[in-house]
Amino acid sequence: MLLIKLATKSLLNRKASALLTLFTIAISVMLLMSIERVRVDAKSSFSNTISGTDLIVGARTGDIQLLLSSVFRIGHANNGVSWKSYQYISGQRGVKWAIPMSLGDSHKGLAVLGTNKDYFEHYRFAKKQPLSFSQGHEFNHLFEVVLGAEVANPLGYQLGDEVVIAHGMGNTSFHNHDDNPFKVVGILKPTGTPVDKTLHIPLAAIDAIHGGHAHQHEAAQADANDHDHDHDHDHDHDHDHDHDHDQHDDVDLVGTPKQITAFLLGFDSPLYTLQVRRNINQYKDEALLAIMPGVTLRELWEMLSIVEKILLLFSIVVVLISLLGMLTSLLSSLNQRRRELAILRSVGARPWHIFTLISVESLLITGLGCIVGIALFYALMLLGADYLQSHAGISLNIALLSSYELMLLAAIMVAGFIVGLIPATRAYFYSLADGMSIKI
Amino acid sequence: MPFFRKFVALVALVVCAGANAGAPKEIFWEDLIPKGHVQIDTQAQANHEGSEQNWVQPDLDAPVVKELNGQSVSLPGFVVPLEGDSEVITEFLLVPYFGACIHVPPPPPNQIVHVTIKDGVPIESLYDAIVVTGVISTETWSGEIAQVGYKMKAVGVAPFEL
Repeated sequence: MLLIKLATKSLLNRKASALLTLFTIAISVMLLMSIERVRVDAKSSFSNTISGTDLIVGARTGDIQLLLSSVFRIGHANNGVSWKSYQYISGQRGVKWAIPMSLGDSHKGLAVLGTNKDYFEHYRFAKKQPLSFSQGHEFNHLFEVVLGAEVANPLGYQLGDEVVIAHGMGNTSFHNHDDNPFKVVGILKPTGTPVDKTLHIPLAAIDAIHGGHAHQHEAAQADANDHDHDHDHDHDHDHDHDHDHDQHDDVDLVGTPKQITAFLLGFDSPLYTLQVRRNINQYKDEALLAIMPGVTLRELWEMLSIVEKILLLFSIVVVLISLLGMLTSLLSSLNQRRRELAILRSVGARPWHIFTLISVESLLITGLGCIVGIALFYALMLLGADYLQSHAGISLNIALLSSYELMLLAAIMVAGFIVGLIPATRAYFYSLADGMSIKI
Repeated sequence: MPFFRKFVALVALVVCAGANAGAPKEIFWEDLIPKGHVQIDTQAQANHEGSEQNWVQPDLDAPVVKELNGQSVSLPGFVVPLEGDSEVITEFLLVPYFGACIHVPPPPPNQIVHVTIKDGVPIESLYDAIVVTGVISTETWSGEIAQVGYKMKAVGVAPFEL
């Protein structure tokens, strides 16, 4: 106890250098912890985003790009899928459900997704959990919107509010579709996935707000359910959305867009997946790509694993450098403290007392460094969580330290202790006369 | 690889526990095709020279071996992941050859096993063959068409060793 007190007093006497060493360690601890936390959370939030979907189909690009653009809203698709191909493929036997997705518009920088009602019924995240509503219900009319949890909260939207969709992605747009405001009819429960930051509107509404022929007719279509120009198409794809018609008044929520960005497929049996995937990839009428989300996520991890390892290596090196900094400052302070140590010896301290004193000192610095580092780490997480959520789609889990993180901290403490043994051993061998006879 | 070691231990445990109730029978992919049935090449069946593609597999003549239903077996193969989180895979298709999804036509339905494993299994690389131990069943999926295929509730997964 006495030794700890002595070590603290002695450290306080050398505040400046001790504090600097402490902060070097704190910052390196913060860096290591943050990198590890972001890495682990990024992985789990990615794999929690999609579940229960057998295939994702889009225009032919790379597997990973299709996965990122369709589900994670990272990057964008270069081309779409024609409506004809969508109808053909989703009408095949064995297809249980198909969710068309049309992306590309935004509201205050948040993605707008045009889709059908199957989305609310069949989309699954994190271990096959379905989407659920915290307020309201799914859209039943053309100009109705269902908000994700993170759209409703910060922007303060309530049921019944009106929302204007902007053309293109970006925080602001100079081309707002403001003649067509959408009424908020539902708000989803938080999921921790990009769904939270998405505004869901009927597929037909995407067409309606984008000028074209739909623009003239959208009012008629919405109010009178007049299928003037749609009528002839309806027979072709009745099987697609006839259940929509059963449930509600016959507002056509799907319409006949020229193309969609991508679509999700679910089959009666997972055994169909491999064959259908091959058929879609070899579909002659259009260059399409079908991916299995599970396989593509694995590929993504395998590709990123080298980056992960390099990041981990770097942060470990930073920790080592900070520990070496502590060693340097302890060693150089030994010379100045020869008299202090000699006085201790002269009042009866044994060499192993001196040894313990120096070791305790290094442990104190590392320990305090870790504590300050953890405080900095949590501060950084709190500050950075929103940014990462909105810019990278990674939802950080600001929870207590995991066992893995505690293990990292323990490793740092052990390393700090071992480093402290070097100056301690050196001080152990200083003789009493050595300290008494120096001239200052 | 430490995870794998854990699972080798797990499988060893399962094998020991199962020894009383009869050890799992080692089977291979040929055993999943009924004796005397001549399996036609998938590609030949799937492609009718320029005509409509065969979109789903049930039209393929691929009967299952009914006697296997309910038996405890171990079967080697490759993993095509379906469900899981960042650490483990909880649901996957077991196929007889790697790349079953890209370069070559996919195997017929009686050469795919749909495996579910309760607590999941960490798979390090999709290139490594594994041996799955569990109870196999011949399942009929409902839907527009009745599809028969193999399903397995796995209790253990180990790396495949030659």
